Amino acid sequence: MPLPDTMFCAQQIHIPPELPDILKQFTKAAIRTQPTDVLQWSAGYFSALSRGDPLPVKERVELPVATQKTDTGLTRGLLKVLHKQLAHKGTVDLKELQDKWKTLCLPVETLKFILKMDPVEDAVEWMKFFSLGCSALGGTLQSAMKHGCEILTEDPEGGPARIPFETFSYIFSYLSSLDQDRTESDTNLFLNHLEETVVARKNGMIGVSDFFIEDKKKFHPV
Amino acid sequence: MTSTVAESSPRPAGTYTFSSRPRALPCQRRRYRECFGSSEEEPIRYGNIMYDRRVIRGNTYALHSFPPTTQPDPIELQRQQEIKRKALARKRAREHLRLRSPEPVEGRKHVDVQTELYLEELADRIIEVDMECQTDAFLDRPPTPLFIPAKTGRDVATQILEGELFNFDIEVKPMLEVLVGKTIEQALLEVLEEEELAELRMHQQRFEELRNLELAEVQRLEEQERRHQKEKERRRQQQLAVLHKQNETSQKIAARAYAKIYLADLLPSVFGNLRDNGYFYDPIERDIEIGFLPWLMHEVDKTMEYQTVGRVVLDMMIRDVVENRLKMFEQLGVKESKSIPDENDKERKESLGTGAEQVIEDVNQQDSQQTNGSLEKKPSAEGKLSMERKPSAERKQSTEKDSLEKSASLEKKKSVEKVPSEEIEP
Repeated sequence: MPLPDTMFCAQQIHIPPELPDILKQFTKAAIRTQPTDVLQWSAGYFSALSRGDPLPVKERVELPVATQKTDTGLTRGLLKVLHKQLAHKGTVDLKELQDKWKTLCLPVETLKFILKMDPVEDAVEWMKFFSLGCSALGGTLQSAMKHGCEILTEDPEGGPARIPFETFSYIFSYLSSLDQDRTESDTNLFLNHLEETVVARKNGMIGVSDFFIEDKKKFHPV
Repeated sequence: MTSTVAESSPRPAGTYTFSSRPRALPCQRRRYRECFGSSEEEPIRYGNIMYDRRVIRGNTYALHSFPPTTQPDPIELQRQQEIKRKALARKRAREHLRLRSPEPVEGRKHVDVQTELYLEELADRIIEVDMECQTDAFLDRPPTPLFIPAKTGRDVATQILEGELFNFDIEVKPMLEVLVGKTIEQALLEVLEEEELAELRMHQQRFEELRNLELAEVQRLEEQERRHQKEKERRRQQQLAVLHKQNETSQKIAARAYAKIYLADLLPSVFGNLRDNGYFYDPIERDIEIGFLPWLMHEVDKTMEYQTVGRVVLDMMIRDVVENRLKMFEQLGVKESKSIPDENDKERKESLGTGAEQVIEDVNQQDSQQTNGSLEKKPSAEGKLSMERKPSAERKQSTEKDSLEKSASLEKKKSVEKVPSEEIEP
């Protein structure tokens, strides 16, 4: 209903019916995500919303953790958001990645730092970037794998974080290939051992408990 | 129309009290046409009490009060009738007594004459003039007109330009406040709730995980324990079995030893008994006993039989001889009897006959016995023959005479002697 030219009373003001809902969703997303630059993030949010892409919203409120080993500004929740947004593409353009990075109000230096570990030209394979992100979260290989499991899992939070073994082995082998201390044979041995136990009993899904404790027994802390 | 009379305190006689709820009496007269259906809905019309004919006007103290019971008393009725009659009679009387003008003189007639200024036509017939008057046809009650109060006050006019009355920013402010405020508040609440739920769930999951792990551990331990127990049990059973076996074996050994001692001298006694009973036989001896001796006996029997046969033949020969001799003697006897008395001869004959018959029979018997008794045992043969002879003697003759006996016995002895001699011979 087009607004009449002259309005006489407050009752004539018309509020679009979808507006409250949109506002509410936006507010909730903002509260959950807690962006440092609300404006930047809102722009990203609404453009993603208009395009129909996954939104740059964290699933759970993440309180700022003071015990992070490496203070990169990147948190697990943020990585998860990125994963949500970009996982459906196999390879991601650097430009797009940068955009998404900025939307989340993360420092660009961190991005550069991460990309330096495995330099690429234009596009980066998402899983590799993800693995690098995981390793940025946790200092050691084990903790990186743990983060990876917990981010990628479909199990409910707090439950056994399980991911398919292929994914796990891919991430693990990639990360260990970047690491100069480990040899490939070590990696293969470890993976084979895990595979036996996992594939037989647990339907091909590997959980955090399977490797996290084992690692301490078998290998010296990396 | 009912009137309820409440029986209150006993009234003093004569006073009239009537107690019922005051009620307006409906007015019968209708001003408008009766439209069917509405007459009942209308409330009962109240008539004006001032113009109601039923209401008593004037002084009421002197009025006769009707007793509450409207049953007319017969005495009262009678009295009233009398009063009426009396009144009537009085009226007639008065009429009768009223003064009239004297009667007219002869030839004259009284005429009534008007003496007013203007003559009036007096007619019997009253002048009637028909006048009609008609009310209007029944009209429906017109609807009550709207009550529009009369206009009071003063009219004043003014003009509003755009933007004067309504300022968007100001007006929208409360709305915005509500909108945004509520939104934020709601969003916050919802987020909090969701967070809380998610946290709870996470805790639950963690707890479940731990519990599962612990359960697995517990189960493992239980399994282990169970296996240990089983193992122990098995070993124990084994041990028990071994012990048991040992026990049995020792018992068996003891029993065997004892039995051996017990039966040590059983054997010789057994053997001795057996030997005594002839179970251990010399085969040759046995063979002789079994094979040779029966044959020997058989041969002996045969020999004896031959002898018997010989004897029988001999006996037959003797018998023939005896018979011949008997015949000869009989013939002799017959010849002699003619000279000797009959009885003795007869007796002799009889005795001889009978004796001879006896002898013959005895001999026959012997023969038969001997032929039958060839297989009888040696020591008892004599006794038997003698025993048989005795009953045969008793059987045949109930009355035996000495001569008979003698002759018989003589013959018997002969035969008996012969027999033993025959018997002794082999």
